[in-house]
Amino acid sequence: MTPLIDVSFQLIIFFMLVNQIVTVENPAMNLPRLVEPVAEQVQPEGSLWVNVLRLGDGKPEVWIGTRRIAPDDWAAVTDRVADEQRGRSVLVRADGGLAYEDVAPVLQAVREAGVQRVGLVVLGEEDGRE
Amino acid sequence: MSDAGHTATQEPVLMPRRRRDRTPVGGPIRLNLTPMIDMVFQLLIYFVVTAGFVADEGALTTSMPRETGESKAVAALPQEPLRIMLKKIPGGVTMRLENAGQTVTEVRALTGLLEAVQWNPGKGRVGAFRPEHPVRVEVGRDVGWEAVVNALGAAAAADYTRVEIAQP
Repeated sequence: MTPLIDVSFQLIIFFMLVNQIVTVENPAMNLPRLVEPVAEQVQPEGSLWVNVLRLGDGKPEVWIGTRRIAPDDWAAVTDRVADEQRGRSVLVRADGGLAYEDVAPVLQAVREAGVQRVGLVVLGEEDGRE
Repeated sequence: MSDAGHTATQEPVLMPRRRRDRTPVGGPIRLNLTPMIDMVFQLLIYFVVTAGFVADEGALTTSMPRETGESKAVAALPQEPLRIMLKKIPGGVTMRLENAGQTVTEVRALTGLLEAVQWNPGKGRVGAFRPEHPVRVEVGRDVGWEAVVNALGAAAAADYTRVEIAQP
């Protein structure tokens, strides 16, 4: 009996870990926190995520889905978004510590890919009306 | 015959007793719980470690300008927009509502200003600008992204429906 229980728990842990790894697409970052909570709840399923991370030296790094984009290669951002969007909504998740001038070219590149509606991801307040 | 008789006399005395001593048939069966408790604690630790990482995220939906080229987009605006100018100062950001001629540093104060200039009798606001009046957030290059998002959030919180970001 004991080995059976051991193995089943091991399997449960294995599948939970694998599941976690597959679904985690978004790197951890300090998202901007809204003082006035007006944001809608994110619908992560089926959205294309554009992550703008802040590196140690304060420079931005762009990830689209699970791919890293070379620094300052805005044409690549446009191409990737155009390739991967396929009618999905686009969510831009930028670190709150970045300057606007680091995020603006990403928004510009996303716009050039023909995307009309973009979600800017923020951290919800706990007492927020979301 | 003598051989068979010999075993017949010894077997009931020795063999069954030894077997009974080793495996007590009909005695209590005990389940060894230790590995199960080990695994349950492992699972508990796993959930404690993984839980709490999923922060509550929300999104500000924005519409990107339809036209390409800056001058066209600006020229297409039907009215002079409400202008919020963000400027970086040491230790924070100032937010100036150009149309009201006032500068604030708190996001809630900016929401208050935007509500004060809004025409919205349903909410008791008797300003000059309707909620569908365009609001333009003009951002200095070194202003942080969080301040930009908060300025957009303030305009949305004050019920304005058309908010855009621009660079001065």
